[in-house]
This record gives sequence, structure tokens and C-alpha cells, in this order.
Amino acid sequence: MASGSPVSSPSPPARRNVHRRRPARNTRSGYVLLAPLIVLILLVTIFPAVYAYYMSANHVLLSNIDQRHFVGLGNYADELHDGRFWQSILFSVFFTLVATSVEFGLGLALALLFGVIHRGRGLAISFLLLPMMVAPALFGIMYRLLLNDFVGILTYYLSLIHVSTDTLTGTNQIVPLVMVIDVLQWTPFVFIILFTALQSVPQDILEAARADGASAWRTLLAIRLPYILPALVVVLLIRGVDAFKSFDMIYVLTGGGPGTLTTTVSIYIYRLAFNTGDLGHANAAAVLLLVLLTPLLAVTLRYIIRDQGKK
Amino acid sequence: MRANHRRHAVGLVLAWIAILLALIVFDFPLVSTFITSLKTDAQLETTPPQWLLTPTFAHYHNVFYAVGFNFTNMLVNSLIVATCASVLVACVAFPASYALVRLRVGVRRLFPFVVSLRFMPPVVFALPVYLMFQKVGLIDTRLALILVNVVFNVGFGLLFLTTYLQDLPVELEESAMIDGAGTLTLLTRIVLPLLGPAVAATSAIVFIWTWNEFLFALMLTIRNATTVTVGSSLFITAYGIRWGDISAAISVSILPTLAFTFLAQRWIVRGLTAGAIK
Amino acid sequence: MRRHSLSLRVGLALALSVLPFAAREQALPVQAANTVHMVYFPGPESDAMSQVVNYWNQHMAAKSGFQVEMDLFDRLSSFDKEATCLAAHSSSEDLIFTASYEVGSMAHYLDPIGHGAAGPGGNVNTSLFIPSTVNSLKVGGKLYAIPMDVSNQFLYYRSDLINKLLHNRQEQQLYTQLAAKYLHQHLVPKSPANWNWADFEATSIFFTQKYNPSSPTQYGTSLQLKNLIYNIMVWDDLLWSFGGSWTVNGKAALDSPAAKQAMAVYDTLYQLGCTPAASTSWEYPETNLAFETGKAAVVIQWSAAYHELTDSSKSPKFAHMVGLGPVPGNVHRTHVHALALALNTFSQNKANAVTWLNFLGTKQAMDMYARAGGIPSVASVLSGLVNVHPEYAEIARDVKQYGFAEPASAQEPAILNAMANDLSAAWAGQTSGPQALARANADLTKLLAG
Repeated sequence: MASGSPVSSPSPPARRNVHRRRPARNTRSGYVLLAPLIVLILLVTIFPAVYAYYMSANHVLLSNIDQRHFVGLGNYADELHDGRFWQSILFSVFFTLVATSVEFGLGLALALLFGVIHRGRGLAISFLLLPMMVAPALFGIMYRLLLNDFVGILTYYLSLIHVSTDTLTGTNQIVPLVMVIDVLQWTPFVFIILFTALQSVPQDILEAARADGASAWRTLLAIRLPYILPALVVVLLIRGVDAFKSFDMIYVLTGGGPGTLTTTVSIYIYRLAFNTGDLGHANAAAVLLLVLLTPLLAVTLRYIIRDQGKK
Repeated sequence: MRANHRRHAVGLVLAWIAILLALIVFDFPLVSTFITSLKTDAQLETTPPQWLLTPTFAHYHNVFYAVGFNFTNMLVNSLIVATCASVLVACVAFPASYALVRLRVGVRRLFPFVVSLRFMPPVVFALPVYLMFQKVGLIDTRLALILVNVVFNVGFGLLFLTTYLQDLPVELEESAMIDGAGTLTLLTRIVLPLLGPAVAATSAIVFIWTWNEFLFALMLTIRNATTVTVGSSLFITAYGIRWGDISAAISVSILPTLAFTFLAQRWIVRGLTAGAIK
Repeated sequence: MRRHSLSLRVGLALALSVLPFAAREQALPVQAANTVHMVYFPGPESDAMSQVVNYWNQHMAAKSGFQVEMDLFDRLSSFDKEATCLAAHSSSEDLIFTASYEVGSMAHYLDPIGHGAAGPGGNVNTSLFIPSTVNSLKVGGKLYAIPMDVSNQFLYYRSDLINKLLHNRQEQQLYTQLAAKYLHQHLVPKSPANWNWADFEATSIFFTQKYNPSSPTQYGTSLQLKNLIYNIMVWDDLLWSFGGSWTVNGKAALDSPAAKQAMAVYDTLYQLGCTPAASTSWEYPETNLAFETGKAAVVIQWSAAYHELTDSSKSPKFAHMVGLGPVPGNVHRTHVHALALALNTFSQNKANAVTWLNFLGTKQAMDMYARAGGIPSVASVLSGLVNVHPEYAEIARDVKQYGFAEPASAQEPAILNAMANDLSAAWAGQTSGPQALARANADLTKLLAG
């Protein structure tokens, strides 16, 4: 059942997204199907959301939570003027862009590689997924020991190939280091999503392309990648958001330092909320973060849902 | 023909070499952590690192019998919370994604809101969620952790399943509807089998994320519902990290996820390749 | 295809059937109707405290009518977790684990205790504990917790190497040469008990292979430069030894000459490479590793490390070569804080909690605690155990003679946090000492203003 390949099939696409008014029955069914989700969300997130907005408009300290007074948008103004807030956002953006790109490239390469092999594939996949099964905080601790100057196992073997840890964990290298560790943990995630997506490309399309004489490379670029484009977008979005929110691994490794060199937005907000105990500003920062990220979210989602019949 | 076969064989070998290299890069640290968990504290500190040694199980003993907490209980908690959360996400996201994609309900407001939940650093929700669960007496319960994890991961489920759902040709469903099938039959008999692998993949990933979740597991539990991730962190003492113990804890905590994923991925891959051949 | 969907449905049904069990947790063994819940730090402290708790539950519980249960909150975030519970007015913990540097920010949710306090807390007897540690737990004149473990810092040195240095003419000459070249001062090796910071620097240079290829240790020292509030507590030793302090007459004073001198010591050692470059992410555990692997000769480290460094199963090579001295300085100063137990104002079990606190305030309980590995803030217990723990005598003496605590206030954790953020940037060479101090001073001023 060919869905119509844009490259080789001469006939028009099998179906178009004809916009027709939704029958009433469908709307009702739709809400029934959405009911569990709606109930869940309402139950669990409405109060925290309201609370966060409320707190962001008050001057309130964790050490004395009952004494608060309204400051309107004052906290927001403070945060917008706080260089350290923007610094943490910049670092998060930089971290996300670099780490996600590398994870994407490596993950895609691995997904393609795994498509070639057959026997032993299941076992190899399970082992490749191991890093993401370790809690990020523990992952950070693990590397802290492995890269220790004096007793680290990785340090030792790297020294054998003349890579000294001074060049790994010194101040100038701490930023690349946390990115590398993130890549080592989350590339398997990108891999498995892209792998499952690539595997779901219908065989008959691929065979048709092969019959037409297309090379493997051309098939990849013209057929397989476009076919899995939505999955690519999803994995980039999810991985991007998670990388942006990175907390555990970096916090355990560097505390956000040296100085504030590796302070992500999450670390910034966490320290503001718990170490400084300033709940008003912390919540304001979080809301600002949401505001900053929403346009990106909207664009991505519109792409995902709109992309129908584009095969 | 033979040239083709040879090229194919060479390609296979090269692919395997690359894959093995990747496995070494990604897994060597984990393997050495496992070996570390079998070393004594003194052996931990010797360079060059020893590989052949008489293993000591003292660290595993410490992990399971340490004073003041019950690691076995934590394993059970983690298992139940992760399983229920992953199943629940699948159960909620599956019909919801159908409604979003096929029935176009909730696309403009609900979908973005649910996905946006994932954008917020969990820390801002720590206190209000605690307050909320305290009011209904759900502090230190597994149910609280399940609910929280479902809410924060269902967005991913929606994203993933809507993507796959859109790839499914509508013809099958349309012909079933013409045959008079109701929505429920449509979902369970037609759509679900085709979407099965995606649902399984979603569950597997949500399982892993829930297993590794730290902040809410920390804040919402006290003694009964503590999970393995929080428990393992108890080996981080500011006065010395018990490297051996924490290596053991990491090794133990990987095992259930490994088993779950191994089962799930066999199902996913088999299902996917079967589904692609129509 | 049919088998597919059937197995799916069965699987789903099975999985869903697990859900009802989600709400029922494994019930812990039946406890006495009245249990006092106490939060404690996991680690050597909780190991030691469990002995006391077990003793109580076995011998005293029946008579007094309540059992004691220890709840472990993970160390990195325990104060954050407690803060969340307290802000939510939770009564699940009767006794809160706190510390001198945290008690100020929690005081609003705690009952004052000790002589003169209103309510059940007034029955707590704190006469057993070292007065300065008790005072470190007072906020606004009121006491909020009883001290358990007392913590300070020491100079740890490789006694074999220092002894050799003190008796070897050639080494002494090299020492003086290096001091003249890199510190522009005339210095000769001295006994560690009398070191000031210049001596510490000179010794560090001497034992760094980069400057002395025949040094058995690769680095002279291993500083704790991570962005962490505990590392500020170490740095405070330098600040006070130069005569500085956080505030003078209520005004922020972190840009004083003393503070600049304190920053200069770290700066010198880091720029000269006497401490590993990676130490900008290091703290307590890494410093121990540096000493145990023979890579550093002299370190400033917390008192709890002595036990580990002298344990031959953990540090086989140098366990018998650990020398202990006061933190260097023209005036010796060491930060002191106490880990402590406080009374949750929302507790429903205060009378029993107070009884338990009073038991902890007896020599019997603290002796048991110390024998099990705790370092209680009780002079007589500490001195009574010098055979088993020789460092206890030093702890008792140093805490009394040189001990110094930052002023407790609600902002103390915030101040430590801001200083960690600001000063660690300079420690890593990202900004200059004076610049970092100026920033820290500005932050301090803002926090003091409330």
C-alpha cells in the first residue's frame, strides 16, 4: 500500500488533507478520548501553575514563607536586569545547541549503522542504551571518579595516548567536558528514536527506489530522511528541551562553577530558590523562561501537527 | 552478483567495527564502574587500574544492608512507580493522540500546554506540588510519584505518538468506519496494532526517565516510598563519597532498566519490521 | 496480527491491574504508637547515631513510651528538602537536622530551646556541650538547636616529608631559594605548628615537582576551589587569620585588605600550579584522594578526614604518615560549625522529642556516639577518647582556641551561596581577586539590607 513517494511515483499522492468540517460525533469522541489527559492535567498542574504565578508577583522568602507582600512585576524587572540570569540562559542555549547537534549527528550515524546489521542487533541495542539508564546525577558522580587526576581509570588510559586530564578538567575545558558527558549519556536516546523511525519506512517504497536504480546514499537523502522528518523534529525538540533544563549531572560535577561558568538556567533557578531562598525571584525567572521558550514550542508543534499527507 | 555480496559483507564488517567502537566508547565507563564496585577502597586508589582481582562484595553488602534505609524496598518502589507511570502515559497518550491527529480536537491549546510542562525546570514545582499532595495526604506515597511522572512525561508521549499516527494511512480506518466500526473498536483493533511499536518505545523511554527522576522523588518521599535514585544519592556524603558503594548502587540500579529495555526493544524492533512490510 | 493485538491487550490488562497496588506501600515493621522522627545525615554521623538510637529503642523505649526513628535525607539536598517540608508546615519530622550555617534560615519554623525558652523546648538541657558550639546555634540571642557533631579544619601534612625537610640542609637551601624566587621573601622551613600562610605557600612550592623535580609528591597541595559553600568555610580561615571578617559594624567588609590577602594566597598557589588545575571543581573527597595517593604533601582539610586518612584499609600507603597541625596563619583561625538537632515547631510530638534531646545531652549518650564514630561537641568525651581517636584532643583544643563561626542569621546560607558564586570565579583565574571581592561585597550588602 504505497503512500506515494514524492520522488519515484508518478501518480499523485494517495490522499490529501482535505479540510472538512468535523462532524459533531467526532468532536464528542475527541473529548471523550482526551478526557483522561484533561483530568490528569487539571488535577496535578493547575495548582502549581497558579502558585508559581502568584509567588512570582510577591516578595517571599523560603525562610519565612508566611510573610510576603505583593510586588507586582517587580521580580520580573529585577530578573530581566540581572546579568546572571541572562548569563545562565546564554550558557544553557550554547550548551543545548552544541550538545544536541553532536548527539543528533552521532545518533543518526548510529541509527544508520544499526540498520545494516541483523544478527546480534537486539543485544547491541540494549548495550548501547545503557548510558541513559543511569540517573543523570549518578552519571555525573561516575565521571567525577573516572576522570579524577589521580585515581581515574579514564585518566589513566587517556594518559597512555598522551591526553592529559589537565587538558580535560582544567577551567578552560570544563565547558566542553560537561557537553561531552551529556553526549555520552544521551546520544543513545537520539539513536533509538531515529532507529525506530528509520525502521518504519515502508519496505515497498525502498524497493521501488532500488528498482529505479537509486543508490543507497540517494535513497537516504531523498526518501528515508524526508520520511522520518517528523521524528527528527520530535527528537530535536525533546532532547533540546532536556538539555536546556540540565541540572543533576552538571550540578554534581561542578556545582555550576567554576564561578558561574557552567550554571544552566535550572541551576540558577535552583540556587535562587533554595540557597538564596528567594522564591519570588525564582518563580519569576521560571515564568520568564517559559515566555522565552513558548514561541519555539508553538512553531515546532504547528509543524508536527500540520505535517500530514506530506509523503 | 558475487561482487554485490562481497560489497555487502564488507559493509557488514565495517558497520560492526564502527558499532563495537561506539559500544566501547559509551559503555566502557559503565563496565569500569561495575568493576570498581568489586574493588576494595584501597584497590580503588591504585594506578594503573587493576582489572584482574578477587572481587569483594562488601560494597553490595553496604548497599543492601546499610543502616537506616531499605534498598530492597527502594528497588520495589522504583519498579512500581516506573512501570505504572510508563503504562499510564501510554494509556493516556494513545487515545489523546488519536483525538489530536484524526479528530483535530485540542490541537491549538491543550497540546502546547501539555508539552510546555516539560519546559519548566521541575524545581519551581517542587514546593507547590508538595503542598498539594500534603493536603490530600499523598506525601510519601508511590501514587504521588506516579502522578507527577505521568504529567511531566505525557507530553513526550503525545509528541511521539502523534508523529507516528500521522504516518499511518487513513484508508484502513476509513474502510473500517464504513464497515460500521465504532471509535473504540477502531482504536483497539485497527490503530493500536499498527501503533504498537511506537507505544512500546514510548513506554520504555518513560520507564527510564521515571526510574531516573530525582527531584520529585527526593521532595515527595520520606521513608516509605523512596526510590533507588534517591537512595543511591545517600552514598554521597559531603565527608567523602563512598565511591565503592555508589558504584555498586549504580550497577544495581541499572539492572531492572536493562531488563525492561531488552524486552521492550525486542518487541519494538520485531513489531516495526513486521509493520513495514504490508 | 491477531495474536499481536491480543497479547497487547492481555499485557495492558496485566499492567493496569498493578495500579491499585500503587497506593499501598510496604508498611514498616510495627512501631510504638508514639515515635519520634528525627532527620539525620547519611554517612558516619548516621552510622554513629544509629547505635544511640538502637540503645534507646531496646532499653529505654518501653519505660518512656516512645521509640525513635532516624530518617535519612540525602546530604547534598537535605537542607533543601527540609526547607520544603518546613515551608509546607509539615509535621512528619519532629526533629530537624540542621547546622550552624543553616539554622538562621530555618529559625522561623523552629521552637527555641534551652534555658529560658517558652514551651516544651525550654526543658532542654544543653549544659554538656562546648559553649562556643552552642552559641553558634543562637539566632537573635535565642538557641534553636543542640550541637551534635562539631566540625573544624586542620592542616594535614605528610609527616615523613616534613620531618625530612626539617633535618636536611640541602632541602632547606632549596626551600629558601624557591621562596625567594617565587614569593620574594626570605623563609626557612619551620615546624607546621607555627606556620603562617607564607610558610604554607613556600612548602607547597617546594613539594611541587614543577619547581622541585625531586619532590616525591607531584603537587604541593590540593585546594578546594569548587563553587560550593563548604569551600567558602575553608577560605574563611584565611580571611580571619589575616584579621578580616564578613562585616565590620554591620557593614559589608569583604573588600578589606585582609580579604585581598586571603584571595592572594589562593591565587598564588593556583597560578603557580602548586594545586592541580582540576581543583577548580574539587572539594572534600578529591582532597583526600590527593593525599592518599601521595600526590599532595600539605592540605587544608576538614577534621572528619583524619579518620579516613589514617585508616590503613583506605589509605594503605600513607596512613601512618599523617601529621596534624592548626590551620596556618599569623593568627591561627579555624571555621567551626556544629551539625545539630532542632525542634520542628509543627511537630505533634514535642514532649517526647524533648525527652530524647535530653537523653542525647547526657554523657552516656554522647560517649556512645563518639565510640561509634561521631565527633560530639563535648569536651570531656573528646578528651576521654584520645587513645582511640588521637585527633579528638586537637579538635577540642583547636575549637576552643582558634574556633570562629560566621554570624548566624537568616541570610547566612544566601551569603555563603553568593560568596561561592563570586569568589570561585577568581579562584579559577576567571576574574581578579579584587574584582571578585567587590562583587561579593555588593551581594553581601544587598543581602544584609534584607
